[in-house]
Amino acid sequence: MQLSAQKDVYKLFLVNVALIAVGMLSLALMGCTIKVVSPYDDKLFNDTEVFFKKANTMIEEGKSVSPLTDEERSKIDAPVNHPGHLTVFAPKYDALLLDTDALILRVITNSQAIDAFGGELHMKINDVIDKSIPSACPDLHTELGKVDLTAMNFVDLKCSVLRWKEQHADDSITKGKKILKKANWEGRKIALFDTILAIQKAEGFKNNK
Amino acid sequence: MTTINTVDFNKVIKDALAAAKGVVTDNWAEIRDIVENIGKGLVNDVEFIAKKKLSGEFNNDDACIYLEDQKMVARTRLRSIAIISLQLAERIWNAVADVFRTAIQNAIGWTVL
Repeated sequence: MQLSAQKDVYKLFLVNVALIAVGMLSLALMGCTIKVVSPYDDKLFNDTEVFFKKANTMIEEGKSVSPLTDEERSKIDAPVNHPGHLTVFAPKYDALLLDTDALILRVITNSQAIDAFGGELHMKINDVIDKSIPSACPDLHTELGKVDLTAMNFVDLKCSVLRWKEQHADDSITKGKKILKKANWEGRKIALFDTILAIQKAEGFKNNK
Repeated sequence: MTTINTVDFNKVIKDALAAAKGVVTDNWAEIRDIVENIGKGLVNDVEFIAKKKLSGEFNNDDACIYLEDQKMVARTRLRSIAIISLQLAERIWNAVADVFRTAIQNAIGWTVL
């Protein structure tokens, strides 16, 4: 997606959120009681931090053992024996995927507190996001069905780890070596940090009375 | 403005607005931070790709998978703004509804809300 288009998406999205907020205020004036966000969960917040540390450790390891350039990678004669090979990292990706499943389960349990009106709002907002910036794992979203925005954030986190594993196994990306480059890991480090920061900002806000 | 059973609804609306404004003022910094991060993130993405291309560490495929990751980050940021906005709206709703609930009960004399 072009960066200018991304900015337009953000603007459109903010307008949508503002309209929804106005709608909620109208309901408030009628005296209706609503619950539109899942409650703060201390365990979820802490487990997300633990996930970050674990994923970051894997990324640092990948960065330290991987070649710098395509040329450097092409000179690796026995890629299967290289410490940056997929076979070394596959169990680490799998462990992270298991952790994201546990986080998703916990979020879905918490989302039961959201009422039907809130649930509808979450679906509408998520539809806007899906249409503006489609997921790299549409099947993952279809499998889970209707879940709240917090759960969707963790589903996208799982999607990112799934894609990381697929990219590591991709002969076209790794030029047949199944070994990434340092810069790929650096990019992942940026994405991981930004993702977890956004998730924790939203979850932490629930606890900020 | 209507006054019912000595309840001045002009004052009630002012009180409700003050309550709502208080919630927005107290929480605006959280939303501002994420929106600022989105702006800085877009600039950082371009700088990162340009730097890695120049150093020979990125080819076209590498730039594509980096941007794929960043698209997922953008989705999460949008949702996080929405979650904070919904939480904020819920707090505004609570503040405004409390003011109106009390006023309406005082005016009618029954607990109807």
